[in-house]
Amino acid sequence: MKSTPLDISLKYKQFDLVENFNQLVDYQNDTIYGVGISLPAIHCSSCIELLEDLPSFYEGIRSAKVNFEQRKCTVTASKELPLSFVAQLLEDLGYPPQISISQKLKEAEKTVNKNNLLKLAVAGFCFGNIMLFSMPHYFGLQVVNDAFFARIFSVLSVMLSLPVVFYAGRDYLNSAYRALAAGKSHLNIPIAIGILSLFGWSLYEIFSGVGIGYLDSLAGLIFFLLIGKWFQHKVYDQVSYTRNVQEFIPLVVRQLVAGETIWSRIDELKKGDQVLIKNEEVIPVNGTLSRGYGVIDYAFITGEALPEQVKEGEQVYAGGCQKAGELVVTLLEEPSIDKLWSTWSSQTSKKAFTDRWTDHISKYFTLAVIVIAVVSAVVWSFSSIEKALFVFSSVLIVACPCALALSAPFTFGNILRVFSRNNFFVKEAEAIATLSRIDHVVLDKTGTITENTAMSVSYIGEELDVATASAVKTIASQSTHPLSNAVSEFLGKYQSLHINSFEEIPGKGIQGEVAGRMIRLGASHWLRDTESKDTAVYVSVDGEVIGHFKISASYRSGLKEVLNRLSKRVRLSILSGDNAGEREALKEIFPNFFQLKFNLTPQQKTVEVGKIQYDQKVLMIGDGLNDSSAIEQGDLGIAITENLNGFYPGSDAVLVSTSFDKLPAFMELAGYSKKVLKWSLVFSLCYNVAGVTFAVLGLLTPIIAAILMPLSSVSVVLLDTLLVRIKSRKLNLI
Amino acid sequence: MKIIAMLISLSLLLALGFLYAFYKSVKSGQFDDLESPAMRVLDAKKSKTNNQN
Repeated sequence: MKSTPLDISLKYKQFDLVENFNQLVDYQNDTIYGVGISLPAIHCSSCIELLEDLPSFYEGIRSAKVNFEQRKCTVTASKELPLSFVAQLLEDLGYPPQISISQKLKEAEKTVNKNNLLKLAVAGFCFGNIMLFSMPHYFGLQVVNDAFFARIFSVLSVMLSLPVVFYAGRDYLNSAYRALAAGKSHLNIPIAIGILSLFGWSLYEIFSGVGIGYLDSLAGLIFFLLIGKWFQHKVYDQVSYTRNVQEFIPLVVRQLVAGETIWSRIDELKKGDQVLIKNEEVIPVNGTLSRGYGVIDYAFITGEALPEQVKEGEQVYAGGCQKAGELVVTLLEEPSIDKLWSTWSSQTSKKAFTDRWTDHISKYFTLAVIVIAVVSAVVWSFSSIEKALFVFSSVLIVACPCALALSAPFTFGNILRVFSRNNFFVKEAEAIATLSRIDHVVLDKTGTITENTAMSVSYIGEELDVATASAVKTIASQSTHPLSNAVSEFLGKYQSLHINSFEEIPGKGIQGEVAGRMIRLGASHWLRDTESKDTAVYVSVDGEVIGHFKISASYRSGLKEVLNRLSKRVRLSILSGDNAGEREALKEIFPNFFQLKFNLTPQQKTVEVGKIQYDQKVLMIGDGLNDSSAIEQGDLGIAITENLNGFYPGSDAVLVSTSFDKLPAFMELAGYSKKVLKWSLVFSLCYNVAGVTFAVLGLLTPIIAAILMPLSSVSVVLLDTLLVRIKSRKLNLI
Repeated sequence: MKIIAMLISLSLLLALGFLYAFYKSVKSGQFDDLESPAMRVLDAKKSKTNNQN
């Protein structure tokens, strides 16, 4: 089949610009190029079949290969076929592509995880083999007495431990060194001390012929640490947090020059130029509407769910999305992308979690261990210097914070997995620790506790008989205006009738003749000559108004229960950019809001969140762009999204809206993580106290160390995993 | 007893071989996608014409 021309959408056209193209493709030569395209819609084996069959349908496409796990398709195409064409083709097939330059950056992180996998493999391999050589010791066999084998086993163990410490464990040593150099406390410092003292003492023991050291414990520790890290990366891979605001504004527009449409780069436009905006396209620049009738959805910017109606001559703002028909916009100013978006993307820098409590514990822990080691060494030095050295290093070794270091990553890692299985994606494990300490939840209204897609419609007025209702539905379904859509959906059960005439009057409404009756649907000022405060569609039959449809955003299902369950743990507030029309309705759902504020600008929201933060930890939950700075301001920010293709600046976590009702369970599980950590801490302290007692008394024989140390790591890992799973099951999360 | 030394070095060599194979397979991208190959098998058209995927 020959490739047929497609109507290529504005958002894809920018991929053809040379500099964008060069950044996006993986490779290219004179005739072909290859590009990896994220297709989040891939969901089953038929998708693979369809996509990989593309070359047999389109001549220009040389090959297509799907990676199901990453929801990605690698396409090789001939240069005659522009990238925008490939993108549009994929969208028309039902796989809207996600191509962006920052998406490319994420690829680099994939390689990092590849390296983590290799490190894990190396550590696992060495751990297993070192354990094998330590077997005789576990069973107290006297192979050690056979000098030949003792030598071979020891030397092999040392050789195997080198890659573990210097390749697999490199990151821990490096980050501990950096933290020390910066004078900060970090959990990696005691880990690094543990690794180095284990390694150093083992080398001493082996080469002085005293024993075989603790290389098995050392390899095991690093192996388990790496498993925890691997978990975390797996979760992180599923969501992209790195998209930025520029990707949502088209970089190429249709410019009208002497009646002709040409493609122009947005930064080449001048004041007074005219651009053509088609239905469902985003307005890239501030300007005046010079032709057409605007029904513009600013939800992305202001959070206002209902679209604004704009007449010719009025202003339109960048970021709005046109919902009905074509527009011509005359530019009021020279577009500058940086300036346009500066208001709501001022700081989307990565938030550092300041309160890593494991860091605090590790500080005291490290101190305590060093104090105990020094004190007992000093005491022993009165009887024998050699014994004192032995006691000093055995305290350091046995008090190695294996359990302490492992319990946090494993607990949080398990919780991350449970969360992501429930469509709640947390960026960093430490965010869970913050979530467990939240005592105030601030919610945005529109799009957060209300549905973005569904509008709730109610009819007020004379009762509609079947014939009238059918007629109204018939008229409403003719228009693409969102309000008409809502009405025609509301009247969905009625049959459509034959329509004799139809007219859409921009700014007013629609009218048409059905079954001999003139039906008008439209604004209050058109049909009644008065303005109405609510969003409403009035109905008139043969010139007489019979009632109106009141349209409001509908609340998410289960909202009442969510709020009630949350209120047992935290205070609740609502900060909304909308008008106060819903105040009473909200109070009916939940009477005890701490604050209920309306008409706030994004900046005011941020300030309000900041005020609450004086004495409380705030979780800010919002959606999209207009809340981004408030989300950033909160101690923890969650962005709610309908699908994962969205974009969430400043957020620490992303919650898919279908899982909104699980929010209390998420918070409860996060709160439980504190308990789990405490228990595993107590658990590992018991081991440590026992071990340190032996060590201080100078009784730490290799056999005790060999049993005690791996046991403590493994049992803590098991305990954490088990506790989290049991709790998740109780909360119906798995 | 000395034979154990030889056995151990053999087993270590064998294990190193596996580690190297794993390294190769990670580098060549075999672990990038663990799901689609299983589904590709079910593609009736392809399995008749070629087996390269």
